[in-house]
Amino acid sequence: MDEARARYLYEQLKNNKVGDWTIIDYIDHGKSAVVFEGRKGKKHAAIKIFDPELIDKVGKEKQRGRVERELSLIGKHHDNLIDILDGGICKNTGFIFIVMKLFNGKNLSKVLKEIPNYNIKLIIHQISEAAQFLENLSIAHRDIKPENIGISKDFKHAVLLDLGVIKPVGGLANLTDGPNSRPFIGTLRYSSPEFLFREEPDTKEGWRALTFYQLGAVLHDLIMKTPIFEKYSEPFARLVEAVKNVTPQTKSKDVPIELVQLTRNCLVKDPEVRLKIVSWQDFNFKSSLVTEVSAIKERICQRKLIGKMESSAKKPSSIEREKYKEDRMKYQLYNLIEKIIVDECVSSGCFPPLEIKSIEKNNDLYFFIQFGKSDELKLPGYFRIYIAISIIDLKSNTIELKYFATISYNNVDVAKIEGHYKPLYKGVADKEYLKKSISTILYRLIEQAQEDFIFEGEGQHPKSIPDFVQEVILNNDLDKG
Amino acid sequence: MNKTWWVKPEDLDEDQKSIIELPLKGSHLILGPPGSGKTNLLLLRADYYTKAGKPDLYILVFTRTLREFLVMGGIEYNFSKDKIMTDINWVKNILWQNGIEPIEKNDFETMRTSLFEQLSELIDRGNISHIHDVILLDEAHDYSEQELSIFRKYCNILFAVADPKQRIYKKNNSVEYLKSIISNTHILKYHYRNGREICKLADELGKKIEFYEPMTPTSNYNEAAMPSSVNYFECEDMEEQAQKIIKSLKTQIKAYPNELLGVITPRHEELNEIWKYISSSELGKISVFQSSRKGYCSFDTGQQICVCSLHSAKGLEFRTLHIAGAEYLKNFARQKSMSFTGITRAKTSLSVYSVGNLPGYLEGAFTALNPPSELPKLSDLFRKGK
Repeated sequence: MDEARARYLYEQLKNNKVGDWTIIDYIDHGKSAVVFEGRKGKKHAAIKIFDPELIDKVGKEKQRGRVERELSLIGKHHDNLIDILDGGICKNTGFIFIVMKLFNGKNLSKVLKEIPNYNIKLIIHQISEAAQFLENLSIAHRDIKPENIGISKDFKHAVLLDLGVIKPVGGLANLTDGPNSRPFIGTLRYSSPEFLFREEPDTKEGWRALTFYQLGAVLHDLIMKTPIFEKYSEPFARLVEAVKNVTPQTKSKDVPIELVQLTRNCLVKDPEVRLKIVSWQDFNFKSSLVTEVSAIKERICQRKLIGKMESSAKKPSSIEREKYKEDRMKYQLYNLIEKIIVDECVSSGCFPPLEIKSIEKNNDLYFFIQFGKSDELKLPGYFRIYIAISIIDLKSNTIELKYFATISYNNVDVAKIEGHYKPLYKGVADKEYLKKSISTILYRLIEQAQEDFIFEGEGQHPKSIPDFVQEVILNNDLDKG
Repeated sequence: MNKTWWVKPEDLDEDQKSIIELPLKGSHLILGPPGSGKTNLLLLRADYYTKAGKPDLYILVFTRTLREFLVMGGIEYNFSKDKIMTDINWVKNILWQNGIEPIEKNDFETMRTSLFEQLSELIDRGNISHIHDVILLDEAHDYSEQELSIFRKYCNILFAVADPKQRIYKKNNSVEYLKSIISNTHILKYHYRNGREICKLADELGKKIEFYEPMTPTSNYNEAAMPSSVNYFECEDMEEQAQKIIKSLKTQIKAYPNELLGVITPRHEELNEIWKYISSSELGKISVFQSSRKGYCSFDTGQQICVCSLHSAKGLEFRTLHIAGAEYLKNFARQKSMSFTGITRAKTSLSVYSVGNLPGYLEGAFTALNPPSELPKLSDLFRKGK
């Protein structure tokens, strides 16, 4: 909602009643709602009215559901959480509204630079208490950020405001999330990476990880006096990238080291690691009466954990792991093809005994199959088949096979793989289809070899076949198949 | 037993056929990998000599078990079992014929040495009473130079088959010596006995053996008809090994009727123990125990399971093979060749059992055959349990 629209609404509602509350003053507005001061008898309160346009967008039922969640907090008091007093759908105006205790202070986001460093511990402690209070009620706030924190004029009392996107942990009623979709909610800038991609587990721990991250982001802003990822604000994609991959620099000589450390720990990208190194006690600074050495030790251990996570992605060992995995996949493919060739030749009785060797060259694998002489099979010399395998795409198991064959009276020991290869197979490696393609070629080739040898035996071999002592390439055109 | 011996000429490949019909004159050395048909060729060649007018011959084998195995094949070809002998009995016979009492000793190796010494002395005195037409030697790689030179003196023609990879006795390089006393060497390239998985395991092992020629490239085993497998089981104790073996044998006797199945161990201690379990199980009546200490039995068609030591299994082949107590392979000299010999006795299915760790080279071979799909993470190393 923009300023003008907020003002327009105020003009409309001024001195009118929403629910039982008379609107008497304008306080502030946000993206989806405007907040007025209201009065009921002698009581003054903040009345949050949702933008009817937004309601049209999300649907009235959904919005009412969200409000009902907020209303479920009526009567549940915590010093650092805004009290919800009343709310619902106004019978007169049709507005959906929430009535909260009037907070007499400032918005934290607007006074970041004024907060004395000395008060940071206190503020974050108070906000963490509120978040923990919600967690104990099995509710996740999901939108903790300086904008949603009110601070007293003396900067000593902080209150968590806006419960607009709270969610019961593991709750069935999914008002913010659709049945098949988990749209982004909350605030991108203060969103943890897992929440940004909506990969957070819907468990107490899952939401706690988000809460810790957001508390960390608030801490960051309090220490650095500037919103997190400010350099990455525009365009939107850059901010997304930053949330995902950039570790914000939190450095300050003016605040206690444990506060800086806590910030860094909270802002760890991996939620599992975050939960390992941050606990609620960390926000309860009174309890850190541990001796200095052990506190330092703990911090070093925590740093180590973070360092480990951050460095593992770029480590040579992870490159090696990837290569190993690929090699294994390749090896399995080669094995499959070798097995198809050998099984067909050995089991059919149509081929002489064979010797199969393989050579890897320029990322391709060459199988070299030499068959023994056999009078019975009319193969008085050596018959050889070469099959070349190229991997086109390992992930999808896409390969290309080519072949050529020769006959000669010489026993060639060293496989020479150069030749005029003809296509045999191209596509995703499918066992049955490979079997069919390979065996077709094998049978065609052996028959061709028999015919060529018989031809030679009769002493009328064509001129294209030299002395027959040399290797002769079988000149059959099988690529039509 | 089926599928062990060739029954018609078409069962042989060209190389094998040509060996049976080699010229009658001159000695021949046949070299080939396990399963290339060496022992079968020996029998057929012996029959060929006999029918070609050279009936004064002996097939000499290293062990009693192998002798019984060959006798079984001899029946297939109507070849007299009296002409198949262990070399020790052959030496003893000559000594007796010359009025010399053979020395009896408990230890196999020492007895062999002294028997051959007695025979050497006899020869030195110029007393070679009778020279055979032909001596056919199986597993010739296991004999010493001295022994081979004695055989050579006792025959006009020496026909020997050998596989240089398989020496399991402590002898010098007999194959080189054989080549020096036999002018014609023939090589069998292709082999048919061992399934691909077994060849691959043997090849992994072979990487640790000098001058090893891998088996897999020349394997022509029909994998499509009988897919092969190798398995390794780490067990708590001998009883667990025995129970596992018995359980799987019960299935295997049904899956492979009329085929010889084997249970072998590197040491006699485990052999005796495993025999206790097997003989008292329902498999007892179809099992035969071959032991240098407790005697030998002939294989007859009713007995499908052979329990013997790794040494006795030389030259034999089993459709399915169980090697128990494999951790004791460590105790032997030439243990890698011995493991190789053991593994290559299996045609289709090989199972290896041990209490505690296998020798590193064997464990490594199993792992290489089935490598993990991913490298371990550092954190995996600190995880307790499985």
